Amino acid sequence: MSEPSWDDVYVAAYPQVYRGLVALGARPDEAEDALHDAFVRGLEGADVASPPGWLFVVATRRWRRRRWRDRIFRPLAAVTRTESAEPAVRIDLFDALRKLPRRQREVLVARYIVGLSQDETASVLGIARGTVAATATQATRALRARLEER
Amino acid sequence: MDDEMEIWTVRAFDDASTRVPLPPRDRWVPTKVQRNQAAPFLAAAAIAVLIAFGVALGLGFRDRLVPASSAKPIPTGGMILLPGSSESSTWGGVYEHSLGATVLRPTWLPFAVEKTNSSVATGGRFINYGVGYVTNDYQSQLFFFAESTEFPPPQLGPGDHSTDVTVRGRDARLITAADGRPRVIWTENEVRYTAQAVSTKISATDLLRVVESLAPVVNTSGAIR
Repeated sequence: MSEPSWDDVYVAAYPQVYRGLVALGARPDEAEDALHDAFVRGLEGADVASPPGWLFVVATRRWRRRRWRDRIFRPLAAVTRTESAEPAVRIDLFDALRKLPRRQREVLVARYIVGLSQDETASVLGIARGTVAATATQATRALRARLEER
Repeated sequence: MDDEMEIWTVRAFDDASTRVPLPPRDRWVPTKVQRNQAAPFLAAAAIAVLIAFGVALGLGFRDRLVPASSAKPIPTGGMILLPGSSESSTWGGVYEHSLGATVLRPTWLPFAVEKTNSSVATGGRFINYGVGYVTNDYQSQLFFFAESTEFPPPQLGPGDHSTDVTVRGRDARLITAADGRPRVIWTENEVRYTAQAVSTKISATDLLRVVESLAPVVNTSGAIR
């Protein structure tokens, strides 16, 4: 059996990575653009051993860089896109998630939306396996507490 | 994490995730990508050309109010040009990613151009670009934006005042912010264009003149985008 093409592994991982980006706070068009960038980057050489994890990390970086870049154009963006800071998809869980520290957000999204194992999450985020478990527990407690406050 | 908490987390994230609608499948894979192995070499060549432009500018090439029709688009091989690239190469980069939409470049400006920034983002079938003009004291002066009308229209901000005007033979809105900075928004062929004064030194009259001066960027073979 031949190895799957990059297009195939990308398409297979697309739904969960797209939803992970939206959960982190990306607008749908930003998530699409970030994934397109990651796809192109993948053509140059991707870690196809863990396509969802690789795509998640690369697309997240691209999205953050795009946000940073947009700040260069803040004077216009602030006037013409008053809705830009608001995520298009409003879901209570994600609203609460976005209030957690960045590391906690990333671990929860990597584990429970992108579907990475603890080992994969540790690898792609560059942290120890034990830290993944501890962070996930801590983040989940904080998330539940925030949701129960509502 | 105990079992109860693990189950709660898995279910909560599953439920939430499935409520996020996915884009149509035909938009998942970008339609315009470079797959050739020569891309790094082309990028290096483009950088060399940009450096050459920069040197030319530094040596006193001052006449930058070049008619758009004389622009020679330079493929960038990327989605963004660095600040400081030449005006022509900036618009050339936009042209390369315009997905068939007409790219409008000013042929008259109320100040001497020293630098241009650009942010070009295309999302499958949508054009969405921005080009900024910055003077040599790093003060932003003007932005030009274009996006598909499939994007939601911009909203008025607090203190904005809107007036109906006609530009380029089309209905347009001249919006003046509370601090006096004007912007003009109009639509041509399902593309929404915005010319925005960032500096308070640019008057509405000057901005309207800039808009009237806009001309389509063409490539060396005369094809308009």
